[in-house]
Parts: sequence; C-alpha cells; structure tokens
Amino acid sequence: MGSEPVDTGFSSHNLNYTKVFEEIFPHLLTVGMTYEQFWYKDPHIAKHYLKAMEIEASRRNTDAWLQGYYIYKAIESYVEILPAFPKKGAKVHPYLEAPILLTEAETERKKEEEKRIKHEQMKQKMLLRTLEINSRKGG
Amino acid sequence: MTKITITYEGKNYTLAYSRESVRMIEQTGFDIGKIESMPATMIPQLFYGAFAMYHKGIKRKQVDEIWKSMSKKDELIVALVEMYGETIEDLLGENEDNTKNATWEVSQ
Repeated sequence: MGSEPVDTGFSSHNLNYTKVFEEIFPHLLTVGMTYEQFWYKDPHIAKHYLKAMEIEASRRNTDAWLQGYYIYKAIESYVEILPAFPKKGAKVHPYLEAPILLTEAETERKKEEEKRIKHEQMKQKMLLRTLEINSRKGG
Repeated sequence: MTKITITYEGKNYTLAYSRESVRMIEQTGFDIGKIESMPATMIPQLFYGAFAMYHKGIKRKQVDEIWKSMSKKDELIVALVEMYGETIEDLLGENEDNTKNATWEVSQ
C-alpha cells in the first residue's frame, strides 16, 4: 500500500475523535438522541439534536426570565405596604389578572376576545335602552 | 452524509463512516493526525474502517485486495479523510452541509 506521504489537506493535530464523541454523546442523550442514532447512523443526524439542545436551553432561559418577572410583579403589587411606616393611602395592588401574553397569536386572541366583550356590552346597552324607551311609551 | 460507491469484481461496496466505525479503528491504533507522517500504517486502517458501516464483518485481507486494485488512490484518500471528518464536524460546529454521494471507479 502507498507509503509515500500524501497531502490530505488535513492538519495533523492530535484529535482523538472517540474521546470527543464520548464527551458529547451524554448531552445528546438528554435531548432524545439514541445510542443507535449517534454511533451507527448518519453522523449528520446529530446536528438536529444539537439544534434541539440550543432551543431547549433558550426555552429554559425564557422560562427563568418569565418566572423572575412574575415574582417581580408579585412584589410590586404590595411594595407600597412593605415599609415599616407606609405612606398614607398605601395599598396592595392586585396581582396580574392573567398570564403575560408571549406570542402574537395569544395577543391576537386576546384582542378578539376584548372586541367580542365590547360588542356584547354594546348590545346589552342597546337592549336596555330599547326596553327603557318601550316602558316609557307604555307607561 | 457522503458515501463512496466502489465496484470490485462485479460487487458494489458502499464506503462511509459512522461514529462506531471511527471508534473501531481508533481503538486499533488509527490516528487521523498521523495520516501524513505514517501513511503506510494509517491509510489501510482508514480504508478498512470505511467498510464497517455497510459491510460489517468483511475480512481485512479482502479489503486490502480491493485497495490494491483502486485507481487514483491519492484522490480517494483525500475523499476518505473528508468523509471521516464528517463524523465530528457537526459536533464541533464546523458543518457546511456539503453532503454528497461520490462515486468511484475501479480499474481492474
């Protein structure tokens, strides 16, 4: 077999691939990659699991941030009464009535719901007014 | 995932590397970093490892015979080294998604 030096374009650094695989594999297990997929199948499958790891980390970060925000809002609602000698008229404000809307779809749904309620209230008002007029006419 | 298809004595062989193939040859002393300084030892192991994914159990002697019959060996080695690198590039964030199915002709 060829004993002459071959220029492979590969820099000769001492990288032990198996060691790298064994270090990374447990992390990919946490996002659902199987032993079979990692060791025996197309090596490129791993990139999807790495992306999933990124998404998962980002999601956990958002969750932590959101939790911090809710705690902040909870403290904010009664911050006025916290001092030993609160100002006159200090009171506990209500906590957020509903969860914070995170997606556009949620905001859209909320807008639609508000519109529907407004429309319903208007209808009720009109109905009451009609009843009032009718009763005046009748009376 | 890049694959090389070779034909030897009328039979098709698909060459590719899984991480298990890499582990297998590294356990027997293969070191990609030494391919240029120790080609006589490393290249046969690299070539043999490329059979493990789709032709598990193939005899080393047979693989050596196939190697002897291969044409354009230098180009083939470069292709094999690139394929070998694919097993790690995604893990190191180096992937450029250059998956291809290379074909190789064998001169008998």
